[in-house]
Amino acid sequence: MLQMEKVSKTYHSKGIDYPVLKEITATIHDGEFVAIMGPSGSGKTTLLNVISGFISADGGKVILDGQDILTGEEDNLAEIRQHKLGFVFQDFMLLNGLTIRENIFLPQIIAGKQKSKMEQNTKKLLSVFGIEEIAEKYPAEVSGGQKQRTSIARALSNNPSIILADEPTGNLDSKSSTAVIEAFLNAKEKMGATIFMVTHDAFAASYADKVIALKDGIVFGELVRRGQPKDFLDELLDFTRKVNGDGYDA
Amino acid sequence: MGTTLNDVSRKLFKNNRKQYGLFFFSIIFSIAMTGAYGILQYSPTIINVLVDGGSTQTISQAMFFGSMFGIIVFLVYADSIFLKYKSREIGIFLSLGIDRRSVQRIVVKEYTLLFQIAALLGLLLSAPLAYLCWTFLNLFLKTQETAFSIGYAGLAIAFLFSLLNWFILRTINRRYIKTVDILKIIKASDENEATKNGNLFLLILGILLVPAGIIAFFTLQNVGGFLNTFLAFMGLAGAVLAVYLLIIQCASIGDILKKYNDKAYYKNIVFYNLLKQKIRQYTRSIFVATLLITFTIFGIGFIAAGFIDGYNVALNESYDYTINATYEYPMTEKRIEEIAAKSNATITDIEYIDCLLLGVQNNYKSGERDWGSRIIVSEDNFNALSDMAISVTKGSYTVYYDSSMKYKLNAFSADNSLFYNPTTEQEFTLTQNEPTCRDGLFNTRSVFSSFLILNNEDYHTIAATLTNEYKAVSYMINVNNWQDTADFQNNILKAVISDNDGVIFTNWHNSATFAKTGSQAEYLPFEDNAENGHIIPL
Repeated sequence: MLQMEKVSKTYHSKGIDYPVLKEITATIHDGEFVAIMGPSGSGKTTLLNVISGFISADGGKVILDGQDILTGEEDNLAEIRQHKLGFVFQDFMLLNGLTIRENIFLPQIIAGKQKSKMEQNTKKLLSVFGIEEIAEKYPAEVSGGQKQRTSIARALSNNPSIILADEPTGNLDSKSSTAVIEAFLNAKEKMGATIFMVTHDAFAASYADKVIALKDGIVFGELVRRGQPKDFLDELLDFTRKVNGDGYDA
Repeated sequence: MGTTLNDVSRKLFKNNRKQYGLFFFSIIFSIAMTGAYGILQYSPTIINVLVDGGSTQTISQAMFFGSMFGIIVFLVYADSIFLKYKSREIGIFLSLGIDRRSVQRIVVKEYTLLFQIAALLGLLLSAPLAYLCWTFLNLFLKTQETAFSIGYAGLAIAFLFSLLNWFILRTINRRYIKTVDILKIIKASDENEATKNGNLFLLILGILLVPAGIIAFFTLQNVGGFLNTFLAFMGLAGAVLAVYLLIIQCASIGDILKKYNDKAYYKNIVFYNLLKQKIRQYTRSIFVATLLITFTIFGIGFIAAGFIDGYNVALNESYDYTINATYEYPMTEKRIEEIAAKSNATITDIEYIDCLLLGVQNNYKSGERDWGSRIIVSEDNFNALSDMAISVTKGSYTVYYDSSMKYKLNAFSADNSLFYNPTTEQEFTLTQNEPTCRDGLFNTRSVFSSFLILNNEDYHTIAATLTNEYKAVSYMINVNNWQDTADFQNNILKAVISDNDGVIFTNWHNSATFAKTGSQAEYLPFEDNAENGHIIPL
């Protein structure tokens, strides 16, 4: 479970303070698929970066499996990234010199897993995400959707506590975006993954269990999906219109 | 692929080697150029020509080390290209949970392997590259001292230089990994780097510091002494840094203009901002290019000036030929006339003067002292040749100099000087009279450009104690149409070489103080090339 308690972050530039996160409090339960949305400048990417440990927070706590990750030293953060966090980036961030299979191996090599367990786990991930056929290909030889599915498989390779996804469908066409969302749903259903996704894409967010809306650094509201994604999408669009008014760029 | 980080690293290296090509060849090129330059700079052929501690030697070494500085900057720039390709991998490794120290190890290992192979190749290519440059130069230079030889000291310097560069780049790479912001790599968007605004004061400082540094270098290194030489090189370093400063300020000239004439700035606002953006982007490469081009132009100009100056001097010298021969291997007027007749050269004027070679302690203005060998003539011989009426009292000496050689007086800053007889190994002191200057008496490029005049009695007393190797006679000859007397020149040279058992004693003029300086006699063997009439060194 991931708990954010009064997380705050302020940027300072030329003597002026820019508060980006103002005491954000939210909880993501195990197995939940949560999307975070908001207009540009609302702080959603900053929140993700704070949770990832890429930037520090000025106040508050981020508790992951009972441990406040904001108080960790650089080496502790490296350990947390190895075992508890999985990342899915907008531009995939695969190593072009390794095959798809080897990219999925990589976090497991870093974690020091045995070769047999690595191969077994990787085989399972290739199957869940439908990328067995491209296992021996290099990232330059596959499509954007396939790369992103590889990225998701890599993020799950060490069974992390939570997957952090930053605009995972941002660089993809609608068909690939759908494939990526399906991959997230597979991860949730077949592997019990917990997913925290930052997105502008209302369609992608409609598949989440819950959507948190940020505006001007505060949690404006939360919307929980009760029915089908299609119905949730209409609710979501109404909700975001209320949140953003004329400032929302979907 | 295996299942360790080393296996991952090896595979990435193998698959990414094309990307490292530019960096790899930059290292080969840099080390090969440094090695080739060093081989030539320190080759016996060049060292025999450059006078120890002379300004030419100092300047040529300054150019060598200055070029090395430029190459270091070039390699730092090339390394930034290596880091640019590695940054993505570094970002992925860090985001996947590898700690920075481990990432440093992986990257530095790869970098070290690349560097070592490239540096080794560069060192191996140094000698062939040096030979190529030398062969090319020989298309234009036709002297008798152009045998290619390897300056091993230069090669050793290149080796040490490559170690230094490996260390510098390793430090930069480690620091980069230690401090890099993962977010910047992951987000990796094109950003405009914030640049400081231009500053009029810094612009003026740069403009003044460049010439000031250069003037300081040329002035101070001529004065001599460790402190002055150190300050001279500091001046040169200041000039180099000022060039960098100027490039940055010129790039931001729009900022300066905006402060003092905003109308002119806004009229060309796009130009000034593009200039700032582009030049600041390429500051380092512009700096290195400017430095290396400056050194090249300076080097060509310096050498060309030497040749042009030499040619002008040759045109205006008092005599067409000067022949120096010691009493060990005497040359006579009769022999010279016979050789002239044989060579179809007509002698219009022939003079001669006897001289001695003694050791004299140099007293510099800085207070430093060292030993040098000096030509000594008697007052009578001098007066006979010059039509002057110099009188030198017993126990004293008078310095004669040509006005173009006035700097030679720097070595006579005391009221008296210590002399050394190389045969008896005795020292004695003579007081200094007011120096005498007269142009056109002797050739400025001969050993008679400056010498010491002694009282007749002193001269003959000393001469009686000297062995023949320290006594000489100089013949000064004018001929008709000197440009057409190549045969005469070659025949005279053959005769002198033959008298000296096939060798030229290249540092005879320093030989009176070998015991004081620890130097050795140096002989250049010559062989007659019968096919084209030219005499070439072995």
